[in-house]
Amino acid sequence: MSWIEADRYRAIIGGCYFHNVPRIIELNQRPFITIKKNPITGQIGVDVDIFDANHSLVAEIRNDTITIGDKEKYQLQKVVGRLSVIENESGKILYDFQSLSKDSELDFRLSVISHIVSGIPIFLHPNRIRIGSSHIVKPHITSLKIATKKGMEGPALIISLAPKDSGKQYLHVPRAPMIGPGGVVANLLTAKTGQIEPGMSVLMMSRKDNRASNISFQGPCYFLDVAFEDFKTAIAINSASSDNSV
Amino acid sequence: MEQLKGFPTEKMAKLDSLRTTILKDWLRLHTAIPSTLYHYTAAEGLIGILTTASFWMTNLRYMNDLSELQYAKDLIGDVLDSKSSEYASNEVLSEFFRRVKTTFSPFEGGTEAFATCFCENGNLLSQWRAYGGKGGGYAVGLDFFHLVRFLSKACFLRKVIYDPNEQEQIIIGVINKICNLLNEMNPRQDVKQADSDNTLPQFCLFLNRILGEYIFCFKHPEFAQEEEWRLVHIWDCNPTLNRESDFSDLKFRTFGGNVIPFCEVSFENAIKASRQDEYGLSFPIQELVIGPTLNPEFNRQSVQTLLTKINPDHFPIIRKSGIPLRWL
Repeated sequence: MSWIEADRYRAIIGGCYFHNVPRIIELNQRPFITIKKNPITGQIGVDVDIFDANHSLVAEIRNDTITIGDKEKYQLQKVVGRLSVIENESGKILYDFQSLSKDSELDFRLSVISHIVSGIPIFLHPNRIRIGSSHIVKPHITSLKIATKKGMEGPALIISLAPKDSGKQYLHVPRAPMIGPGGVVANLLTAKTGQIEPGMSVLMMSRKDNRASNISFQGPCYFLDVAFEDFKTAIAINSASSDNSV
Repeated sequence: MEQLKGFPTEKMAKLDSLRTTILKDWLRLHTAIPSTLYHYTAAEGLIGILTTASFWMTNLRYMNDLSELQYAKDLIGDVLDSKSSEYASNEVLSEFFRRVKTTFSPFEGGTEAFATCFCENGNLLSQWRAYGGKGGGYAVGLDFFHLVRFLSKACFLRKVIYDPNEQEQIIIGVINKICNLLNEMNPRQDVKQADSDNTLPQFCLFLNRILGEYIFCFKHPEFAQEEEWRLVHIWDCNPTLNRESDFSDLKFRTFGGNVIPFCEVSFENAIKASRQDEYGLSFPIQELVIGPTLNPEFNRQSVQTLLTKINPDHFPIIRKSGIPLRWL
């Protein structure tokens, strides 16, 4: 029985809250990190390839199975409910999947560190998400819920990356408002236009539901405490430098 | 474990192999580390833990409740008595048990064990009662799965076992395995021969070391609701035996007029690593629970500021206990 995309779950992925989002990252319209489910047992798994900065394959993860590329350099750490890939020399944790107990509010926690073909890093760190540069000081979005109606087309965030990014900050939204009555997100983004730099644009926000989606970034991004709800894809990366392969 | 002079190498290899088997079975009980373990403390302790990024590990001989250790010692003594009667007709085993019972002393083996206690549950009434009277309670939640590798001292986690049947079966299982090997090495049941190459002393030392770890992992079933885990550091040089021991890490505090030895274990390296994206390590403090005797809103902001000061790249989860406990 082949595993299917999981569209009903609650999890912390990259330190952010994900609710019913099967595709965490797409790269040039192709799935890069996908949450899967065994349709019979309900077991949750992940599809992702982990690459180092030189684009050598570290591990291939398919559903609940991990294949390590170079066992001299990387090891699999496995106990009931937890699977990790660790770089032996540095102790870096490149993949960490943790199932949580049934009485938990969450189904699992996940962190992944990988790179796309041009060496651009993807950090789904246990506490934050960074796409592209690791030299950004302040998060672009903090404490924001990005949600849409079930089945609505389009990813929550669209990020366009060039192989050489400057790590420049495009927008800083301070820790504060979760979305609430009165369209806080709309106010937040429109009232602080001074902080919106060239290259960052808000394509669409649904004032009706006090929710935002299809936010577009040009360049690297850093998110802290963001909630993604009911999207098919959370983050779509368009990498101008690469072809369609990852 | 050290090899006694005269004890044959081939026998030592068999003993080492047995040790590996016993350790494997034992460690299996401690691998399912919960996603979060909680350390209960008062406000002063919380500030100390967060500002110094370290925990105090108390010498296990001086833990708050000495009856905890006595319970495990008594249990081991009872099992030794029972096995001693069972093997009364076997000269070597009979002598082995006589010596073990006389010499069993888990804290005189040249090592000192220090520990910090954690609970699986971050909202335990019994713990809030213990800390509520000392200026309010907080439960600091940590994920040790990766964190333990980043601590400043070599530490391991042990789950406390409360079920008396399970405790007894563990001790009996180990003793049976050791007795089988001792029998295998001494088919003629000759005590003199077993002493001539230090087999008996070596086996006594072996059992003493293994039982030593059970002492701090077995507790009375009345404490079962604590679901306790212990972070343990073994200091492998007893100052009373080794005058060249390094005392620099050894500190002392007072408790109820008593002088209590302790050492500190720092998670500073984990905080540093957690701030670097490429390490993939979570900020050590996963969650913080504010006890029921405190004003949660008043403390939430201050505690959040304190956590943000340590690591601004992390959005801390702070929740209140919700248990309706009041001190009159």
